[in-house]
Amino acid sequence: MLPFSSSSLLLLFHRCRFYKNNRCLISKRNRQILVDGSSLSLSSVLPSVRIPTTTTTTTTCSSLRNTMVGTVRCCVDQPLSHQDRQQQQQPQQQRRYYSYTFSKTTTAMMMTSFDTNESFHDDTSRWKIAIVGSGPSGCYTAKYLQQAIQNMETNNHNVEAASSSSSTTTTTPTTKKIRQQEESYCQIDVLERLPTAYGLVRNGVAPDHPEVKNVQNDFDELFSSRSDGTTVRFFGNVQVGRDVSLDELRSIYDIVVLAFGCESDRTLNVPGNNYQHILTARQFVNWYNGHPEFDWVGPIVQQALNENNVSPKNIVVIGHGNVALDCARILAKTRDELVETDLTTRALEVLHPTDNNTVHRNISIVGRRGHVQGAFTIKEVRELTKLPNANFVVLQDELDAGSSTEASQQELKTSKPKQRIDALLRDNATTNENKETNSHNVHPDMTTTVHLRFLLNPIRFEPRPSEKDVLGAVVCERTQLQGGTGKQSAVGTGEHVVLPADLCLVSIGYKGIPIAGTEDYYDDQKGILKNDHGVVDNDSTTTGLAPLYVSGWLKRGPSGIIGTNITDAKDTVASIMKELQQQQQQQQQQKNHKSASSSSTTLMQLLDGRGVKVIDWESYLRINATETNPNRLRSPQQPREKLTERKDLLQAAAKK
Amino acid sequence: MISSLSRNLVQRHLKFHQVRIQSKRSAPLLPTPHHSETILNINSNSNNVMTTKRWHGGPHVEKDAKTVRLSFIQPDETIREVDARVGESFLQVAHRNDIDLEGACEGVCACSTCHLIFPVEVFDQLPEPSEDEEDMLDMAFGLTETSRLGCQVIVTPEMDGLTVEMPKATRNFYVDGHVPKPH
Ligand SMILES: Cc1cc2nc3c(=O)[nH]c(=O)nc-3n(C[C@H](O)[C@H](O)[C@H](O)COP(=O)(O)OP(=O)(O)OC[C@H]3O[C@@H](n4cnc5c(N)ncnc54)[C@H](O)[C@@H]3O)c2cc1C
Ligand SMILES: NC(=O)c1ccc[n+]([C@@H]2O[C@H](COP(=O)([O-])OP(=O)(O)OC[C@H]3O[C@@H](n4cnc5c(N)ncnc54)[C@H](OP(=O)(O)O)[C@@H]3O)[C@@H](O)[C@H]2O)c1
Ligand code: FES
Repeated sequence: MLPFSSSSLLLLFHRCRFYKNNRCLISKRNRQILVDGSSLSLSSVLPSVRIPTTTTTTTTCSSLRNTMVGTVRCCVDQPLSHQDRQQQQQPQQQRRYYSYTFSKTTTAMMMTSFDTNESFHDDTSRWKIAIVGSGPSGCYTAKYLQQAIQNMETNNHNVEAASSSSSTTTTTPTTKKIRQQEESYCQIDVLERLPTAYGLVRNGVAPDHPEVKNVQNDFDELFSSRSDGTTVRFFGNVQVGRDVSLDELRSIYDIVVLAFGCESDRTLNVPGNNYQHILTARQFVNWYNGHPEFDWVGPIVQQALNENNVSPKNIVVIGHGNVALDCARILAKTRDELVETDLTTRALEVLHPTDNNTVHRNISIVGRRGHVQGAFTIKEVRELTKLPNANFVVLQDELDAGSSTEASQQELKTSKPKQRIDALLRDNATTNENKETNSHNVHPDMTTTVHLRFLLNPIRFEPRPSEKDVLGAVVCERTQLQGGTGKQSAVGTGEHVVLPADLCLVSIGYKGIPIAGTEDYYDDQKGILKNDHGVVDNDSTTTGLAPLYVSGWLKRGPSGIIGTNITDAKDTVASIMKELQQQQQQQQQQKNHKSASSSSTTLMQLLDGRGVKVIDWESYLRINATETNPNRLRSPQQPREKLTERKDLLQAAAKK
Repeated sequence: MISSLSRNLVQRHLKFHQVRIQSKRSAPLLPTPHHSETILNINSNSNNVMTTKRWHGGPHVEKDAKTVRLSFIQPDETIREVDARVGESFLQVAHRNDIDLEGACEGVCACSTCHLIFPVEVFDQLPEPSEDEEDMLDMAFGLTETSRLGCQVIVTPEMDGLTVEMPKATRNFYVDGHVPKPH
């Protein structure tokens, strides 16, 4: 349904007096005007592009009261005045962009107008694309989509230019440039449920790895600059599935890409996993990184680590991925080593409350398989071996047992990275668990020790003798490896090893969960959305809804570094471009505009109507400025002090 | 007169689209003239955006440094031949020439997205990679025997005529069910 009838549109044009006698170049193809995001073909509305110059009366205006609400944006090529023309000595046109907002009051219909200064921002875009999630995969998808669409439009333009080169229209370089820019217009909106951008770059990557977060600068550029013909906008604080439904998105946009990552955990199904003081690594990491929904973790860690002043505290981290190593390192480092990072003060005070570095901790990182099968990478292992204020212990026996199978030997032989990890660990190995001082890494005056343990499968949790619902120990079964090369699994030997534990972090992987509207596509086993090269559902013939794509951890599961999302995003973008090219061909055949923008609402209007406080890019920058304000920082080197509560984030985002 | 309601609407609109209201009272229906310089400005801005790249970590090399010719085989197999300044890192060369080599960590050896593959005879001549670089390379996607990180290798005069290769991601990457483990 179009909000404007053809007659009201005509009236509208009459009202727009600037318009008289000028050729109207509304929207791209000289045929369309966009009213509130919906396109009308001008040729059907206005038989001739020349508009009669009647002025409307108040009566006709008030008769429009019920229909004319919304925004009209148009672009008009106006001939220069006679004088100007003489100065320039040739007939020229000047293009202007206008935006008209119509609103109703009780007494009269109001119409306000202004120069938009910039050309069409959203409604008139040829392509409107929504990306759900602003983590690396969402951002890389936006980045490569932008590039690919620009390339496609440039090619189209070249083809058009070649075919119309015989036409007699005179265009100056300036108008040509503008036209080019306008022709390829594409709007990419990135929706993020948090007020802040970048997903796990902010809420995952360890505070003591600031270099990794440099990628944010690249992503910042996406949102803050306008490159030829496309804009990427940030819609923070918008939760898809709650604030806006997926179907709504699919009717507002031409393409919807889901990149909302993995917001749950793989579960360790062993008895006792509901005891207090057991957390998943995701909860722990989100908390220390200041995720506004994980405030509740603090008191648990506080209790587990600082209760009764009893030393040493035993911490067991289950899993051998890099996340497990991150957690262990943050627990093992001293206050001094962390004070200049962006670790939130709320977490620092719990993890390392005192200045003196005499915190006494035994941190055991246990994995069910051997070191050759470890999911960690050498950089993170090496960091543990080099901690200046903590011992690092790895047992020679466990290394030998892990590499003794033929399959492990084969795995080592074919992988240089594995060989290097093997060498590093052997270099740091201790021959006997009780004689830790054998290792050159073990210094008696260091009170914290990190133990990297292998071939131990956690089989149950045990409570404290005194408190029946609080964790006391992790019971593991010694395992041995069985199976072919690359497929070895851990098989129990019956021998039990009891690891006392005040705190346990289960770090066996994140897991994707569906948001409302994606249940049908969800693969519960893998925790991903079923897809073929990122295509989740591109059959819009039955539903009439925009095709659905997926990218990132939600597409392939919770593994891979930031860079892995590049190849992944490119793969999804290739699939999207196939679709866009198809849509474009159809449009050209039918000579009409795309389906999605026949919807009359924009996302912004919809969210506004629901009272959702959208954090746009400018607001995000205000949050950023608050967090990096020197007055907030513990030391001048601290990159930022994150705001950890939603209300503070929203307050910082608000214009002062 | 504009009612407060519509002003709100406009302001919201303004905030959102970062546009300027030009005439509130006098003639709400008449758009105020746009100066052509503004249009030109918009344009030159957006052009800047296309070409200005962030500074990437790496040595600072003067514009008039001696140059050598380098070729990059891009993932789609096309070859880009460019002038490289002696003393620059390969990542800097790529970025200055708009070659689509990522450098997510901005050249500080923390992401491996600047991975390049060298011909074996050149690889053997390069200064040994640091431990940090080797550790990072182990995470690189499509690692080969002669892989290096583009941000860590510096252009020398002897490299004139050298061709390096950017790793390819084939579409089969996912079809094969090959999910790089752990990366
Ligand atoms: C603890 C940890 C440390 C890591 N450290 C490193 C490292 O040092 N180096 C490295 O290269 N890689 C690291 N990684 C891996 C890297 O972070 C991931 O590869 C990457 O973040 C995955 O990107 P993604 O966009 O798929 O998911 P995410 O980064 O999780 O992004 C998903 C986004 O979607 C948003 N979202 C969720 N639901 C909704 C909704 N309903 N509506 C709107 N938005 C929604 C989320 O808030 C989030 O911002 C680490 C991962 C973890 C878990
Ligand atoms: N610095 C960095 O570059 C960095 C930092 C953090 C994270 N990341 C990346 O982020 C991704 C996710 O990391 P992650 O550590 O969460 O996951 P991960 O790398 O997949 O590791 C998961 C670990 O959990 C173990 N595990 C799984 N299920 C288990 C079970 N039921 N019982 C016992 N152990 C179980 C796995 O052992 P099995 O092998 O035996 O299954 C494995 O050791 C990884 O790709 C990682 O490299 C990178
Ligand atoms: S740019 Fe990150 S490792 Fe080279």
